[in-house]
Amino acid sequence: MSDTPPEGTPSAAAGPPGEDDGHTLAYGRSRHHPPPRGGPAEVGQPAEAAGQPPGGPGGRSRLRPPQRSVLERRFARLGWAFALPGLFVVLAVTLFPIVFSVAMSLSDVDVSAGGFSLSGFTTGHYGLLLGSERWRHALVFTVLYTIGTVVAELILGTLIALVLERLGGVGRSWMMALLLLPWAMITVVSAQLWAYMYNGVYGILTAASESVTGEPVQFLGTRFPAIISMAVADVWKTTPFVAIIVLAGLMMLPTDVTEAARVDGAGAWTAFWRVRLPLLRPALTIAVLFRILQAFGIFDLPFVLTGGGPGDATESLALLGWHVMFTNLDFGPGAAVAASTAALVLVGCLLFLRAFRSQVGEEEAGT
Amino acid sequence: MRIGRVRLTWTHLAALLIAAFVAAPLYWMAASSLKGPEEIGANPPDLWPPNATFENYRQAFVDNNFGTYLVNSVLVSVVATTLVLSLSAFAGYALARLPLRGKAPIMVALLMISLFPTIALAAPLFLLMRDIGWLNSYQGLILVYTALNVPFAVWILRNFFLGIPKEMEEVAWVDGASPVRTVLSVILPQARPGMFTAAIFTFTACWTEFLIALTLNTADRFRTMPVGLALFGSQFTVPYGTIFAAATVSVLPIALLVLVFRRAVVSGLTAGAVKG
Amino acid sequence: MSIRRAAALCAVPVLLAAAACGSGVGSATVDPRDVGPASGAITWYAINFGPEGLPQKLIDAFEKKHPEISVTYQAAPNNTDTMRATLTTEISGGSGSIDVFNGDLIWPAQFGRSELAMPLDEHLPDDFWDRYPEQRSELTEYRGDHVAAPLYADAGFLYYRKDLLEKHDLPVPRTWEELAKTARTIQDAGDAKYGYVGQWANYEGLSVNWTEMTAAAGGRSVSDDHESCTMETQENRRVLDFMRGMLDDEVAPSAITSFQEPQSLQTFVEGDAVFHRNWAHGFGESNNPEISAVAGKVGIAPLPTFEGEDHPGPSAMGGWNLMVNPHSESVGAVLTFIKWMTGDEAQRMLAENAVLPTVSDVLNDKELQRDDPVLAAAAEVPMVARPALFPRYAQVSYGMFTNINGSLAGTTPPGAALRAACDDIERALEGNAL
Repeated sequence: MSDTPPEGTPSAAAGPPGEDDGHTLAYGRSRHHPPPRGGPAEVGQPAEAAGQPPGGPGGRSRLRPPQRSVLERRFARLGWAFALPGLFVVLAVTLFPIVFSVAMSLSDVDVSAGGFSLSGFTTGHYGLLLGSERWRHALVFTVLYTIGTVVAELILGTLIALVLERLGGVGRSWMMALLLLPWAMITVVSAQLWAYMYNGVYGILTAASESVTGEPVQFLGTRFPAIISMAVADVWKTTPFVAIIVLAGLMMLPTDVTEAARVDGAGAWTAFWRVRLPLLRPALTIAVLFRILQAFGIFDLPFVLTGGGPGDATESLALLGWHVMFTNLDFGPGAAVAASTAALVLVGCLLFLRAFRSQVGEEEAGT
Repeated sequence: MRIGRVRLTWTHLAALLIAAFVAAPLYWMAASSLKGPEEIGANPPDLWPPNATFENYRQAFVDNNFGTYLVNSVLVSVVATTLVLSLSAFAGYALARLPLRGKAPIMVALLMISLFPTIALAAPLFLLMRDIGWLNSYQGLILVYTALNVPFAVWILRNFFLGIPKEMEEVAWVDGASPVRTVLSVILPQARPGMFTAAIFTFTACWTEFLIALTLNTADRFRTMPVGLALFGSQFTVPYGTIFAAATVSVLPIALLVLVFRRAVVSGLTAGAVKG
Repeated sequence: MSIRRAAALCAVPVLLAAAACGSGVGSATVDPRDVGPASGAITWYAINFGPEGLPQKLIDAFEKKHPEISVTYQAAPNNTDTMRATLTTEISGGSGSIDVFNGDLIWPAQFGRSELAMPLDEHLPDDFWDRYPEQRSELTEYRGDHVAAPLYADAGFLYYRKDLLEKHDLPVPRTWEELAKTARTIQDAGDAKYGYVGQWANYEGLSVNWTEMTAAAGGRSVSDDHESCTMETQENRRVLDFMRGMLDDEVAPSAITSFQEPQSLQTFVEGDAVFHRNWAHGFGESNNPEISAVAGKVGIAPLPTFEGEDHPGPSAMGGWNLMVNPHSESVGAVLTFIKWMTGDEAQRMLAENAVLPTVSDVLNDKELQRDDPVLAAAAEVPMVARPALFPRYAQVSYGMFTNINGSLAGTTPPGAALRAACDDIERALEGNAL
């Protein structure tokens, strides 16, 4: 087992192999397996559709026997018993809001004292988006901003994680505590803090830039500086998230892999690049995935820091959605902004999963 | 060994740099929270509060109800985090190891749910909570936070469970341990870094959430800290001093927790490490 | 196990509710004629205004007069947009937990259109509205019905450094051109870093500043009938060129394109600017020695005009109204509250606390004016309204401020910015804007 790299992400993009990545305990194969001691298995739903052929078309189903044994069905029931409570809570709370929101985006919505009334079916709200310069601009900005900040955070976060890993001991725990502080700050407040530091007249950063260059830099007053300044504030707050996930991933790596590489004469850099980085794939994937989600939905920071300005320079899709919904009180178009954002980011995530998987897979093959 | 020592030095230097970048804004927040209203806007700014005062803290806690908001935030975040961890540990385990059909669709569905913008959820969630009478309550907010954070926790925990060698549980099974016990006593200790990571992220997500808390709990005694902070000042004033005082207090519990449980935190991150 | 089971049990009613909720949330509105008794408990939702604790002081005075009614003050988030978001969610969600709320001066048409505020004419005597200046009460109408009662007023003023003008022996400028020249002189002498600060950030406040300056130049942004955009005129071009000129000459700091009220005020109270445009609170705050380095040195004047136009330039109308939640179950008590709050006693309390009253009698009270230069100035200045009677004003305003701000930040040249603003505004007027 020791030289088998831990496997990674659920292969959402790669299709059904998530059914069984080769991690599922091969209960069915285990000849000396005792039956589970009942209990929880009975709590769960009976596994439905037991007659379907297992495994699916994924390439990794080789470990599975072609048919499900009684024991295996029993474990499937146990699986549902474990998984259902969590899934049920999630669905119970989010299903209605999401369906409602999508319905709003597809019908004529009247906000009135009697509540929201939805009538008819229309794709007009989406048409409005597609025809709107404002929406297109917000989309382009959000995509570029997401790519820029996530890449920066990924690189910085990984570097920080490596530094912390080496640091060890007391130093590491102090650093961890410190790193968690920006992350634990209320976004609205950290945005206020940066707005205060960037302030064009009495901001500490403005003063610092004046003493360095002789001319105060206006961080938020003009287009590109405003975008960069917002990104810096964002990176400050969210890189710890990446760093901690990657650090936890590093800690889970089997140490002998690196040692083996070192014995083989690989330098520290090569060992990291060729051996440990591919092994970090699962941790990196999760970090990036959820950072994409959050960056794509960025709202509080532009809301407080720039108000989307100057002009429309920093208006993100979420900020646009908020304005359409709660400033203009246009709930239909607002819901359309939200739903289209969700659809786009889903596509983005799936693309990322596919690309990242295959690319790192090659690295792995080369090792 | 020389190489080792040089490396150590570089590591320390890098750590210092990182610490400086992370700490500088925090220092500035704390320093500004000790300044009077005039010094807050001084140009050029004073690097050190010239006449340090706790007036801003007094205003946050005495003139505003910040203490109540803080307690509410702790309560909601702690309960929601506990619920999220207990639900996701089992769900994550099932999705990692047990032979479920449709794992991939489930994982993608969870992803979709967690990427749906909160702004679009706020109004329907209000309707939902109004209908079951959980507006202005703790349980309403806790339930929503639990549901919104389970997806991420499941993703992250499943990922960690996948990294644990199967032999461990197989041995447990052979020894006749019940499934629940296997998860609790074999799997979870192995996945401590994952549990720790999921706990931190869930907690901070609840701790900092604004829009839903604002929408669901409008009564003052149920308001959480991020909402409470938005009430400081008036339409045309941003009382930076009071906000920073409150914000400094709001990050302290996290810092203290991590420092007090420093050893647990570090062992949480290391003890579970799989030595192959 | 128990935790999981509890959570699962909790979730069941949620799911059922979700299924039952459906799309239309049909909660019946209160019958407008049946207002209920003028007693009981009501909740008033408002952003803090005036000196600390003023809302509670008003309530205390009210409850003394009307012991049968008790009022709870619920503080709203201090951001106008955030407050509007919570109100929209609550009211359209059918909640009656807020009975009466403060609403921005620019909300009535929008709230009227979405039925988020109760029409008041049936419930208030016809002569109720006579207490207000006509221009002000008109702004609370939607389709011929008043949906809000003005509570307190606000107006833009020019604040200036008396000491610096005296030192250079210069008069208070009457035109914007003169203001820029005066500022430059004082800046060149090294007595102040900047000449002028106002609110030119990317938000509603820029629409306010823009409306004031263009009105002074004889321009406007939208035609009276809300049919067409009147952005691309010589008058407006003159104003935009002048604003950019202030930036080019460094009379205005380049940071002004990110300034809202707090930032411009802070710059001014630190002694960094000669002139400052702000609302009425600017006077008290810049003369408060606890927060201002220039306390006692600040004068107040009406806004300047442009050369060749009438002096003074008009001030934008600001301030807040009282609006009633259509779901309130205590409309009778709310009406009593509104009548009292817009009556002589409460309005005087406002004036004594440096909040501008809306009621003409109190606004024009010579005795009060003698103690309060802001009140005296407010009674004098001509007023201009933003085109907020148009229900889609929010989009119109966005078209204004975002393009003007973009031009001030140097992203687009003035001509193109005005054209783009006009495109946006016209789409908003046609109802095709996002």
